Amino acid sequence: MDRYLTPEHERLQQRVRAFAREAVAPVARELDETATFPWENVRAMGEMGLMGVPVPRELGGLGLDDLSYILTVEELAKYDASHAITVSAHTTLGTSPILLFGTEEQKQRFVPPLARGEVIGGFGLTEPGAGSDSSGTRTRAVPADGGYRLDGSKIFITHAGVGEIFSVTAVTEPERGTRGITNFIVCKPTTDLEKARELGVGHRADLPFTDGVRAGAKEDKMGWRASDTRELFLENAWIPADQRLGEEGRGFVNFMKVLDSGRIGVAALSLGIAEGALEVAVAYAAQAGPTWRRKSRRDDTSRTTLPG
Amino acid sequence: MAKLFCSELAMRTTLAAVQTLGGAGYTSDYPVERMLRDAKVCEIGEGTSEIQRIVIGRHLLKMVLADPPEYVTPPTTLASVGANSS
Repeated sequence: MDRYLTPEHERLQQRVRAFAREAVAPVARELDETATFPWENVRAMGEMGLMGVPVPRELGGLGLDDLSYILTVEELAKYDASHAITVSAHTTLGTSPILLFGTEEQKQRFVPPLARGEVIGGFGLTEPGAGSDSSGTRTRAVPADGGYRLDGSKIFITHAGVGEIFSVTAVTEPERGTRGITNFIVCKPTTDLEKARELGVGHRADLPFTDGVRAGAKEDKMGWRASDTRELFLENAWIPADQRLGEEGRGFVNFMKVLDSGRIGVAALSLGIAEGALEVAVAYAAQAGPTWRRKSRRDDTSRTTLPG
Repeated sequence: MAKLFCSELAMRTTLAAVQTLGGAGYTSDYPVERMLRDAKVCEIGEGTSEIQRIVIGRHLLKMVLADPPEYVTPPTTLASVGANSS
């Protein structure tokens, strides 16, 4: 038995590995080339429970520990990092803020569709001009009509296009600096409505969609190309008070906690990429490179599939 | 720390993997060139390596200053975890 993994961990690892090898590896190259979001596989991963590994069972997740989640991301990343970041960003950035800081009512309302992978979630912190300095939030939230009016924009937001449920930061008290930042849950319909209807995943008509929440054009990225990254605009968007996430002024501190857990996902993803690259390189070197190459050139799928 | 270490490990490994495959590694016939591109963003997304070093450095300094161990001077502690080297 593995020193760190229980038999349950190993079973999950095998299941994810088999899925990644059969369903992810053959399409990874094409999705990367065309920068296409893997909706079919997202539906399959949702059915397998992979979109909510650490989420409690009563909220639609698998109710497993953090190590199970890490193994899931790592195994996917061995074959395709875009699939892995989709699961990682959805789980830690999309779902966990609501799970960690939401009221019981907010959890019941927003977490189950996310954990079951029915809709995709995201997280809006980074803003144009602020870059890596996440304390430089400029998006404003002004109390209005029993709620808040949000105005501003967020950049490099994973799932801004395909996703429907987002946790974002906005300044409620400008004079208080990072202690004047508050979190809100905002919803907008997915940009892939047709695909969502066709596959029956990615859209829930009963979510509280807000006018003025809108996704920008898709970024043309160097890597993670099958993952969806866009700007998220909040244009005079009115959010009801019951969609404020956590207390006023706690937004920055709370989001830093979310980022801390998100980074574990990126660490697992990085480890998976490294393991995948190592496997290919070792197999190539062991099989006297050029011979294997000629053979694999004839067989289209083996080029993107790891040996073994 | 895990994020900083693993993302930089992924860059080193994928670079070496492309080099191992030579010309083949540089083409999209093999997945290693994609892995190299995918690894780069791990050093940028959800906190760049620079931000990670600042966060880790701040945390270590806070720890050391709160309870300075007699046998370790702060610079040695930072160096031992690679917080001030690349």
